[in-house]
Amino acid sequence: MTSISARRLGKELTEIKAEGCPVGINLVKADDFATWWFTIEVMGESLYQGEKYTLQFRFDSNYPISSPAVQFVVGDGKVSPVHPHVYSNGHICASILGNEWSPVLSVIAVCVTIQSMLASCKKKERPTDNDRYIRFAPDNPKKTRFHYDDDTV
Amino acid sequence: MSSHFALDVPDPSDFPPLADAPGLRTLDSSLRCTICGELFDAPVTLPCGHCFCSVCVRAAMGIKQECPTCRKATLEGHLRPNPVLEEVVAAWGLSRPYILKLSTQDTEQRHSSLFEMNAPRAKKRKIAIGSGSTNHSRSGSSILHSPSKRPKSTRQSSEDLYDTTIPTSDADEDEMPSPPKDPGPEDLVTCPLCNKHVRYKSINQHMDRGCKDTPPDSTRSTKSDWQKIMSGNKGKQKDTSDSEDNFPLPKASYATLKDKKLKEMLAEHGLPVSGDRNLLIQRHQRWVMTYNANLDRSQNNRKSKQELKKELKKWEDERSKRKKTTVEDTVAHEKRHKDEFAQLVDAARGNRNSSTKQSLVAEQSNGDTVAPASSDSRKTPIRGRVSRDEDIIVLDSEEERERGD
Repeated sequence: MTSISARRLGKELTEIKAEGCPVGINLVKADDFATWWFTIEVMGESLYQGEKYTLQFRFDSNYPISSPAVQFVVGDGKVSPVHPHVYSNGHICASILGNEWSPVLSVIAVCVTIQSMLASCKKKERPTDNDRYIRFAPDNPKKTRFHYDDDTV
Repeated sequence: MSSHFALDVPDPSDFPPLADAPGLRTLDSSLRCTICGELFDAPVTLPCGHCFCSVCVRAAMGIKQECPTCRKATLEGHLRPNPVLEEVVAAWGLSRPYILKLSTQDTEQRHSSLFEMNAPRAKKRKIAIGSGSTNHSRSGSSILHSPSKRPKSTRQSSEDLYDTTIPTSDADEDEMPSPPKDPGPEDLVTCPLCNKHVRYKSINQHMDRGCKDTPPDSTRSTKSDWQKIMSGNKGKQKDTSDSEDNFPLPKASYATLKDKKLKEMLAEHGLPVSGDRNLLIQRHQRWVMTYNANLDRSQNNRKSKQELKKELKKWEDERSKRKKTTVEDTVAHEKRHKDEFAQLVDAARGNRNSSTKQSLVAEQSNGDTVAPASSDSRKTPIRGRVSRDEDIIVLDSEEERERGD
């Protein structure tokens, strides 16, 4: 018997293979059930037109009960989008990745949420505390306790 | 990559898409738990109406006490087993491989009949009429030609499938006498659950007992009932063991428990008491969860305690296996990844040097003292570790709120 997390991820992968990703989201690699990469583009009119970002998912053995660690890939020519909720090290401040995570959410659902988070952005800028945060940021964004006090961006 | 795809996980996408097999994918996916993606196991309903496997939703509620789908606040005590859905899922589980076979055959035939479309039309017509429904590939092609016929033919086939079951249930309904008036309290009525004859006045009590025992007759005096409870150890023992099996285990607040008590609690259920405190807690937690979830299965689907213990052991083995992969031969590990380590150390040092100036300024202005997260935080296993203060950075972004409007 394979573990629940592997089975659930296997199902998600089969579904992605069978039905494809939503527009603007593409699977880059899913070689194992630990780390997956996606590319994200914002479709239509937005501040991020024509830009492509890479999103990394890391899963632990408790997925989907515990949330995946999601961040933008930085380095190797890849950068994180300039957005008031995205730090320059790729960490994302989004409630559904933290205390608003629900086990019924899926990898694709997270991708879509982040895509729409970028799409609704009105001004390209870093979070105000970006410099302070990235200096001491833990490797895993799940170890950061974010404050979510802004639903509008 | 392909090795993981080879992993056999039954999924709604096994079925042909909507156009080829209407409803089958939806049917399969709606009989699956949205947490684990498997067919419902011991399905429970929440007050909001959403359904999950008992184990899944109990695990989710261990983290947050709300419905995973609609986020409505829910407590574990609000979970109600859904035996009807359980039956449906069991039947679907049985019929799934068969229907899958039928549907793939059907699509194959359609595809082959699509090739035949190129053949002269008149010829095909003739065969279709001549051979009738015995020749499947021909009838399939005729369906393609006249879509209006399709619903009829599918209904026919489904009638064939249920040929044996449907008439009998109809007959039952016909035989059932429509009650002209309410029966008197002493009249015998048939229990709708177990079909036993029970006095009308005690039918409710009988059903409340789950049809298990004959209702206490008025002939049996209450006095003897009391005697039985108060005196005999024999009768009592049997009674409690019976009812204990039907009651969920209480959850424990482990923080207040000493190791000794914890071990006692495990021993009480015949579980091993080896391992460190963390493991003991996890073991007990998991046991309580699976035990209570097992009670959400209908009586004859329940697993024995022995089976549950086996599952618990498997669960533990899997977890320890996963942990062991990180703990290897440290010397060899160090050698193998020497370059990587050196690179990381360099990167970290460079980072610190370049940022010292900034950090001084920032810390003075902010008045915040946050110790730098040293690189060793990466080496310590994430699981089971108490997160240290320096890993947690509380971020305030009030300015964002203003700007966001």
